[in-house]
Amino acid sequence: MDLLIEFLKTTGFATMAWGNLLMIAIGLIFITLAITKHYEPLLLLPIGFGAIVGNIPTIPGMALSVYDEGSVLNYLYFGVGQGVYPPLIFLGIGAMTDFSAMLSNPRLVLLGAAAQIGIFLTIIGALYLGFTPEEAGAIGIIGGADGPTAIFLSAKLAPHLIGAIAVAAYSYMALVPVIQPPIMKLLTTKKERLIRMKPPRQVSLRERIAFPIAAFLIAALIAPGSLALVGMLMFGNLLKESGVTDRLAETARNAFIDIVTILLGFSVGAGTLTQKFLTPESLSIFGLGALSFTIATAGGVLFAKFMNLFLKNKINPLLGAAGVSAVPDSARVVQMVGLQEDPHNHLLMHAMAPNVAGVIGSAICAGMLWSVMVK
Amino acid sequence: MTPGFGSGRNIGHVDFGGSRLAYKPTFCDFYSLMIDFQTGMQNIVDGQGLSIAAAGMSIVFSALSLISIFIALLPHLLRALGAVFPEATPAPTPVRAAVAVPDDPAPAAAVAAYHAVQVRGAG
Repeated sequence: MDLLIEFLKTTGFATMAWGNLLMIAIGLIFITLAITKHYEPLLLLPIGFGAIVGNIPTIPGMALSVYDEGSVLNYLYFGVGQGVYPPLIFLGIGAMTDFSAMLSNPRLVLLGAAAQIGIFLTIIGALYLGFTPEEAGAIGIIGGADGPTAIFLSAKLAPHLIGAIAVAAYSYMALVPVIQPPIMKLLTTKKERLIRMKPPRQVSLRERIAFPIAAFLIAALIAPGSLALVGMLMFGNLLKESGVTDRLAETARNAFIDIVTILLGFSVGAGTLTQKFLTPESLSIFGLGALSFTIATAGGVLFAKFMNLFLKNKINPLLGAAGVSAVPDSARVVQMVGLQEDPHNHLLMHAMAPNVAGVIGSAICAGMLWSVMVK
Repeated sequence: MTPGFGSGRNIGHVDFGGSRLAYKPTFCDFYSLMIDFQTGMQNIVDGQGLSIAAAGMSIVFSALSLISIFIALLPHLLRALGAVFPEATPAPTPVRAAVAVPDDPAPAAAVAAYHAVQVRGAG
């Protein structure tokens, strides 16, 4: 009988805390959003289930949770904690990405730079609220709207905040269709939203092969901290464009990225142990993340309007919102808002240019912040 | 201490040269108490926030501007390179003689029937 009582004391029912229940509920909400609303299902579903798994109370002395050295979950979490998974994800993204839209209209690259203002203004906000510079840098990168980059930089600068930063980054990426349109409409006139872009030109194979090599050299030489992220992104793209490594490109953009996405999403979710996650700091991170996305969107749109002051062929300022590098969600939002004004004005192809430029831009920002703040 | 830039300890009053004046506590004051953080502009100065922001934006704009310039110049570079190293043209593939296909409606009808079964269900 004593044995049974002792066993009952170790069950999850006996040791469950309210925080664990809350995190399990959040995990269920993520799964529901993924299935019913299709909000970033490839990420929200693994994160949601990971949050449920990670918040089952464990037995003291048994290596079970993410934070118990030697546990299975701890080994899986290694890729998050050491920033291994994000560059691998970037390899797959590179093998999927077609840079042709950007190569045909290089002016749009600058919109990807302008949207990074969200990162730096959020850093200032985080510093104001009392976060350390390293923590502020990791929080600010949420504004890059790039989950792998956010996880990579948090792993390097503020590992104790990875859970909150990753969940905030992916939650806001899922909410891009909700967050961006009001800002885009507020900052543009109907006339501006109706601007039509010139059709993109045909890009030669040689251009598509030369670009990843040159872009990597430029980015890595300016910000060596971005070497792993930009390097893998451009390597993946070279696999795709070279035309001689189709098998490798095929694997990188299908099975490989899927495996890493599963491991990354699940591990991030499992890392949201309530005692480490449900803190006032996490609430601040969510607030700053929302601010970051808003500023980034506004920055891109306003910079497009600024560029139009000097350009003969005007840019549709909605494209600026795609500088937020949530690929391809923010480009889809641009297309959607554009179509609401003119059902024949298709902006998706054009929006992919600042979108992929934003990915490169946020990786450069991460590299720059890492090199500035590394001790 | 200026209201809104508080450390949290002086909530409820503010010192102006020794005289204590009451003021309404701000959100930041409550925030400081809540998470034991010291909020304030001094943090931004201490953390070199403005320098980081200015340097960061300059770096990302420089890098992407360079990439943009490179992309703009790339067609010209490749054209110049093409004069020295001409692009290999693929070997012409032998073209089969065109064979007239009889305009038989049977295959089209078969495809349409298959499609109808697939769409509506076999039953």
